[in-house]
Order: sequence, then structure tokens, then C-alpha cells
Amino acid sequence: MEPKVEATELEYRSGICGLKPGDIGFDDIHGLISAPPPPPETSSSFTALLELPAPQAVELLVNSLEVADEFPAKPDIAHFPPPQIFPSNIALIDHASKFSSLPLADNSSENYSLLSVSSSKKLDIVKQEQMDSDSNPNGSSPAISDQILKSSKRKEREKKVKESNKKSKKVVQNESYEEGGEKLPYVYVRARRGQATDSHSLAERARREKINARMRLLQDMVPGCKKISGTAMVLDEIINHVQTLQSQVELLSMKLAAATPRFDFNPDTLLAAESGSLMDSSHPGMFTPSVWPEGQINGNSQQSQQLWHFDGLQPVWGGEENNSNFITPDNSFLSYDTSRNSAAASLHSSQ
Amino acid sequence: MPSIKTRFTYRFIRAVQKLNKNRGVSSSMKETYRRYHMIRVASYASMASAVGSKRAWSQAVLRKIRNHTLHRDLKKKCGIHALIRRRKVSENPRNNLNFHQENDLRKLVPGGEDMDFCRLLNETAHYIKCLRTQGLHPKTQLLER
Repeated sequence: MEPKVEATELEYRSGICGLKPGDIGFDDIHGLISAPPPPPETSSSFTALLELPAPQAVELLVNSLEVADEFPAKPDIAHFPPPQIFPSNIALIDHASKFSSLPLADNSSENYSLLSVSSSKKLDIVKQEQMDSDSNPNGSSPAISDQILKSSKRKEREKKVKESNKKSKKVVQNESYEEGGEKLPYVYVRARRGQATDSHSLAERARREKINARMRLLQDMVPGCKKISGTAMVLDEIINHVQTLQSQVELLSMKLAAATPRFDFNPDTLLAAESGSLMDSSHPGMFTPSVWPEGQINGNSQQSQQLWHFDGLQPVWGGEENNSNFITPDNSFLSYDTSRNSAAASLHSSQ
Repeated sequence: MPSIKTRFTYRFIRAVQKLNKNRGVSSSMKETYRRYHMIRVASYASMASAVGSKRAWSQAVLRKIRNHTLHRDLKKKCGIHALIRRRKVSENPRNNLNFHQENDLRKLVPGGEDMDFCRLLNETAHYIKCLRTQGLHPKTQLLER
């Protein structure tokens, strides 16, 4: 049994590596399994990888393959204990998948997706594999399904080995696996079925999700937006809302301008109402009631006229912005004003 | 740390006071219109300075006001940084389907021309929140007196 198992192991291995069987001598593998492996000077990086992780990981891999061989007709997956997840183990499989031209589990109709994205952060590595049972070209293959979950997404590189009938796309951009000891730079992202998984589309997908999240936030902010479906409508609503708010600001400032030609308001009470902090006012707070209604009435009539003219006055941010110095008059302002003035004056005089 | 609302109210009231001190008494149309403009700019400026430079839109507001004050002929839109940013944004291959609304939104939100869509949404959210406090509380209080 032993030699047969080992033979199949080696078959797997060489198949996995895509190397000639001569590269990895049988002795090497024996040595690797039993004892700490020798330094990988000449051999392929597969053995280099094997050297890095603990030998236990190698055993685990071996075990999984062994079980595959020994229990060919076992459909019950639950009995098989999921292998413990060592970072090294994942690195192994990663590396194996990198080099493999054959699928790792050599089952045809499976959906075995393994995506790894290397990242600079240390993340929890939990991997998910799913393998259906299928006939083995070698004639001995059960269903091994390990349930390893995915981790969060952090995209710098990604690598995917997908084995299925539909798509078998493999993008190998593996560079920093050697770092994997305790910390693994890989981040695994579960690829959804039928979706492309190269780096660009992943980035696209992440970006779209970000945008969708922000749109949802905006929907909550804008009243009456939650029922609307579709980005375009929601955006329209948002734009509408922003325009409404801006015109409100203008309206209020117009009212304020019209109503404050000459009254000194008392800021003490204003601020006291809000924050409880009193402000020193240089102007004594006094406005006679007589002034106020007059100013208000005047302001109202003026304001209604002015509103007709200032209808198109949206805050054009690049255009006729006025200074905030409150001292220097603006030439453009005056020129704008005179055109309005003539129309306004005619209206005013008609009243 | 006082909230944005109180900070804004503080500055706005102070600005309006200064305005009233400087300006004349006439309630002519011209004067009123000018005052309206000043008050509106004061409102946006005090809102932007209450927010600080953390947000792109407040930065853009303050920058525009300052530029308009100092160099009236030099529009910041033609600055080289803005040009580079805008070209980068327009050349973006990841263009949105809702192009029309996106453009409108960019025009509305100050400084919206130079950012990508994702950031634009961020800034819009914050902008809406601040516009609410700007339009509602202090001015209505002032007017009720």
C-alpha cells in the first residue's frame, strides 16, 4: 500500500508541479516527509516551498491526497476532518496551484475556486474549497470538500485556480509567497460563479460596491429617496435636493439682506439659545419695534420683486463670485447689477 | 469640541455684523442686492471655514473665495493642478453610465469637477449635511427677531 500511495503521490506532485519527474527525486520527497527538508539550492521552487512550511503541512497535504486514494467510493464528506489551516498549508497549495497545469483535485465538474490576493497586511487566512466528486482520470477519486472560508479583500495581486467545466482561467501573479511563514501575504477572495476574477474586474467590483454603499447612504439622507430604484433616478433626486437647499440658502440670505439695513441684532440671545455661551457684542442690542415691521414689510415687497430677477441666480461657483472681504466692491458685480436695476426699477416704479 | 452648527453660527453672525457695520443704511435695490450677495458669500465662507480643510468641497469654496478676492482675473479653474486632475478624471476608463447626472452633480458641489465619482458621492453627502444646518438654523433665528 505504501509504495502505491507514494507513487500516486508523486504522480500528483509531478503533475502538480508540471515538472519532469526527474526533478524531484523520490528520495527527496521521502526526505521531505520524514525529516526537515534540505536547503533548496538546486531544486525547483516547489521544494523550496516545501522547505519553508512546517513538515506537518506537507503531511497534511499528503494525507488529503492519501485519503483521496484510499477511500475512492466514499461519498460522505462529513467524516473527513477538515484539515487544519496552517498558513504554510495554504502557501503550499498556493504554490502547487501555481505550478500546476492539471487541476489540483483532478475532478472535472467541480467548482473549485481558489483565489489568492497578496496583501501587505496580515489578515486571517481562511480558505474555502469546494470539490465535487467526480470520476478521476486515474480512476480513484472521491469527493473531498474542505470548507475554508474566504477572507477579506485586499487587492494587490491575485491568483486564481478555477477548475470547472465552465471556466478554467488561471492568472498567476505570485511573487511574495516566500514571505509566508507565520504571516501570509495572501488574501483569499471567493470568486463568484461565472464572474471574472482578474485583478481588474476585482478592482472594478470593489469600486462598484463602494459606490453602491455611498449611494445607499445618500438615499437615506435625501428624504423620499428610499423608494426609488435605479441609480439615475436617485441621482436626480439628490441633485434636486442639493439645488433646493442651495436656493433655500439664497432665499434666507436675501431675506436677511433685505431685513437688515439698519438694525443691530443682539447675538447674545441667539447664541445662548444654541450653545449657552454668551458672546460679547460690541453693538448694544437694540431694535425698536417700529423699525422692525417697517423693515420687514419693505423687505418683503422688495424681496418679492427681487426674487423674480434673481431666479436664475444659482450659485455658479466659477462665475460671478463676490469677494468676502466686504470692503472692495466688485466691478463685475456692478455691471451685473445695472442690468438688473433697470428692470427692477421699472417694476418698482410701477408700484 | 463645538459642533459644526455652533461654529458656523458664530462665524456667520460675526460676518453679518461686520457687514452691517460697514455698509450704508440705504435700502436701495442695488445696496440690498449687494448685501444679499455678501451675506450669501459669508454664509458659504463661514460654513466652509467651520468645516475646515478636511473636506474637498470646503477647500474648494475657500480657495475660490480667496482667489476671487486676491486675483480677480486669475481663475483657479485654469490652474495647472486643477487641469491635471480634471484630465485624469475625464480620462478615467471606469466611466459611469449616468453621465448626465454625474456632470450636473459635479457642477453643483463645489470642487466637484476634479474628483472621481466615488469621492464625489462622499463629498455630496457631507455637503448636504452642512447645507441643511446652513440654511435652517441661524438664519431663521435671525429673521425671527
